[in-house]
Amino acid sequence: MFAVQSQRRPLVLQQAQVEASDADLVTRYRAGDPGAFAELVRRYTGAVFNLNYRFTADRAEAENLTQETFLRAWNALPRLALDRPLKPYLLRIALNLCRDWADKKNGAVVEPLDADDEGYELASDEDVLDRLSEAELAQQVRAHLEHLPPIYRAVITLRYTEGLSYAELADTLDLPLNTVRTHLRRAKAQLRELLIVHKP
Amino acid sequence: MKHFSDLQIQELASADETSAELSYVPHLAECELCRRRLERARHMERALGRLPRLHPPYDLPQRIIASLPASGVSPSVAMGAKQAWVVGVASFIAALLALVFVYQTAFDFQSNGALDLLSMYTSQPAIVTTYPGEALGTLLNLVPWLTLCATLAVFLVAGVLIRQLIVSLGSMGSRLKA
Repeated sequence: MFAVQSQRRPLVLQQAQVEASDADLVTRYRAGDPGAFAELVRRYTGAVFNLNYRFTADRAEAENLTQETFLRAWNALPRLALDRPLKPYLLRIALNLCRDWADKKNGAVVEPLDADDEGYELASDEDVLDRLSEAELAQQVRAHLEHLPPIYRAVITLRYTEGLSYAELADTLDLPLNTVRTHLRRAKAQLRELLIVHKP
Repeated sequence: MKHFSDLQIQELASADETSAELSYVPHLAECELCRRRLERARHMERALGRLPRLHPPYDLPQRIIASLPASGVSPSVAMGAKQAWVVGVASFIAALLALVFVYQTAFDFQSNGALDLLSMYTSQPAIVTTYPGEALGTLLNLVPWLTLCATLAVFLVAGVLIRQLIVSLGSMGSRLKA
């Protein structure tokens, strides 16, 4: 009986380690545990890299920005409130770095907001997209997403690939909720126009 | 007829309800144009939902971890660990001082005669009941107040420092368990 119990314990301990929450890891990191930050890096490298790559469209640059993101987080985490979700916070650092990179490279990339959202006229060309299956449309989206401005690529990536809610998007982008909704609408409208222009 | 705005269509398309359920929304039940717009928006939502994540090189996390300074913790976290050590040493010194003061206070009680007086009051309670004011006044004159106050102060400081140390050790303990 004792042998069975000792065999069970490592599995339970391993499971407990896998399921450590972000707040637990930050707390342990603040107590001086470097392994806790390493776990956060493993957990969120994918999301941060995905955003950086979608924004910059440059794999090497995305790797550099990802590394810089975690270096900044490494310095800033001791001051972070524990009740603040970590993923949007990391993505916010990443997005700010992307914006700085874009400013150095090309100038401002944020599209001006248009307040007019009233009314709509259905363009007949949009029927073209209706005839595509979901898989075909998804393929067209993947092919033409890179033609969107970087900030719109970032917004779509954060919403649909990283699964951020509107509130988390607002936190990441540091924008009011309604502004986030407008950004998303404009991003999808512009994507739709691109798909119509380049219809198969 | 006022149609739904693009934002409203976007919100409806993002909602969990199916088109059939949303058909009970009054305007949607009446307006084929907005129903078609909603279906088109949902079609796009589903396509966007299939957008894949672009994966990093498999060794990127390790490279990031390796690029951090050797201690693996930021200077502000390292400073916290050093402060814990300082608190620990201060707590130890305060605890030792508290023991010294307790011994000194007990010695002063003995040498001033306060303990002997208390012993006499205990064995002859009639003294206290007959002359309560004088009995209390005499006892208070013999109490080594300075030593007693110093002892209480050192105990208070030691208590605060030990409490701070326990909090720090608690955080380190959770790290060791993990």
